[in-house]
Amino acid sequence: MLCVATIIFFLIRLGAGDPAQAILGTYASSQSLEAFRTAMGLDQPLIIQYGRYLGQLLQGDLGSSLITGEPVSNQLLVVLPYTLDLTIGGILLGLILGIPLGILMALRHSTWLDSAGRVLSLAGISMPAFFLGILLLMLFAVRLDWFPVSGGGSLANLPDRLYHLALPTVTLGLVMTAYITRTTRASMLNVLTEDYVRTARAKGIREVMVIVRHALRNALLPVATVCGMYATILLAISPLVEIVFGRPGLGRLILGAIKQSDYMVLQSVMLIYAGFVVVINLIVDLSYSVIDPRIHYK
Amino acid sequence: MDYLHVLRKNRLVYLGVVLVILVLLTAMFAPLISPSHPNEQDILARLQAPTLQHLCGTDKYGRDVLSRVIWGARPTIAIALLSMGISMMVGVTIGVVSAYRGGWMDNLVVRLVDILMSFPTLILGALIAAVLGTGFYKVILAIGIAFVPRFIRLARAPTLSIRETIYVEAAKGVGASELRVLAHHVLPNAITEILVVGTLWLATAIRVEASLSFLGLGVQPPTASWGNMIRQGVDRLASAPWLPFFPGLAVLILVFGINLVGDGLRDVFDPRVQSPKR
Repeated sequence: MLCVATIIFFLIRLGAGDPAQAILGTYASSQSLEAFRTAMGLDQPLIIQYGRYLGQLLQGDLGSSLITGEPVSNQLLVVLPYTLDLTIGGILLGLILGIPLGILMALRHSTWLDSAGRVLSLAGISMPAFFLGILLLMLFAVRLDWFPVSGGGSLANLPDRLYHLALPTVTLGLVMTAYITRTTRASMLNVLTEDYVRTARAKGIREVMVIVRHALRNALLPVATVCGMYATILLAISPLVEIVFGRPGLGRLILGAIKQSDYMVLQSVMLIYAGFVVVINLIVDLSYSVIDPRIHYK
Repeated sequence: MDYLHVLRKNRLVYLGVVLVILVLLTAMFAPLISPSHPNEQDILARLQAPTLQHLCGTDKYGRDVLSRVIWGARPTIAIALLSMGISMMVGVTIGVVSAYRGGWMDNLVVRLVDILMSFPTLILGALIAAVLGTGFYKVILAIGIAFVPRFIRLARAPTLSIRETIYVEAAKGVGASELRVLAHHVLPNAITEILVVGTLWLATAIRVEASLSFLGLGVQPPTASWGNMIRQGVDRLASAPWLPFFPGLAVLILVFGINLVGDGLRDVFDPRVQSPKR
């Protein structure tokens, strides 16, 4: 994380525009620009800024927005629940739909159902998430008026929160379903030809038990690996979905920060993304020992 | 194994090839087949739904959406191809040299790649685009840089095994220089896998370009690109749904086509994903 923070810090500082100019505007006087830079510590040498940033970071301080002066952590706390709702919802929906569909396609291998599933899942991963979101929005919010057109709902009001979450979650969930279905199918196809599955069948164990206990358990390991990878992809495309559905979240925060050259917010959001990736990988690693009891962590 | 036989058996590959060629031809012959110039305005015909005169409708300036979708294929495809070219050249060079030499430099490269790959390509691309600024060439660079870590990792794996082969040992034994070994023995044997996977990543590059343009970090209006057309259309979703629909469909067709071809190629080169004997 320290390396990530360092790379992000220097990448943003070395390339992005002048935040003083971006915030105060083109017509700001040179005195006011200088005063702003001094107040924000932007006139200091880069290495001093870096040292100060690391010092703050080690104390859990993400700094303050250059635009609003508000602590970045406060801004993150406001929007993070919306992004987490959306991403976790999308991952869960993807797992709930994708694993059974993948199993079904593997069991009906080389039939019309398998072919249709393969084409649909390929179309799912080919479709940009924001376009899928637009299609769902057009149909279910604009035409049928079943769901709200925009907004994230109130965090305190659970039904309202879920009502606003439904369409964006389905959007991300369908993308995740496409990925998980393909992986589960491929993994099941490999496992179904294994000797232990044949042995289980020969012993007269019911087909459902053969599939669930013997095949699926072994097929889930690669699914868990790629699930972590796809979860980070989902995290990356969630800002696009947030913009389509007018939801608050990290996406809008990051976009605002980019457009206004707000270094502090930008580097913090990037750091949060990297942190999420680490957490996702940790969860995936831990899930291995649950799926396969032979794997132990000492 | 007869690669062509495996490819021929997969009819969806044909569909993929047809879709990709169709979009490529559309982009190439845009000046000939486009009904009008993409930026030609007709204020009296603004926001018209699809009709026989304007098959995909018109936007808020009365510009023909079909013409803009046809012309929009050009920057999208050009950005994807050029950015992949840049990242392939840089990434493969670093990956091959680093894996061949090994040592502390290889360790450093691997750690750096690990760090950069902890960011999804879209997020990394957005960060670099934010740093570089917007515009056609800057997006090419942003996407190109974002893909470099992937190509480094892709090129390392085959290089590590090729450097241990007898023919590389023999080449070194007869006094071939490092550059000669890399250029004449390592790279030619690693390049097929790199090219196949690199081609598949074109689909990802196209999606990333569309996403960056959608976020306002890519090609800027009035130049038509599928991503910025979708973005402009989102604001008028209720009154003019055709505005985001047709460019979105174009992205889907092209990416779907490439992925269909990619699926076929994967069947050819990865026997593990072929049909099991049941």
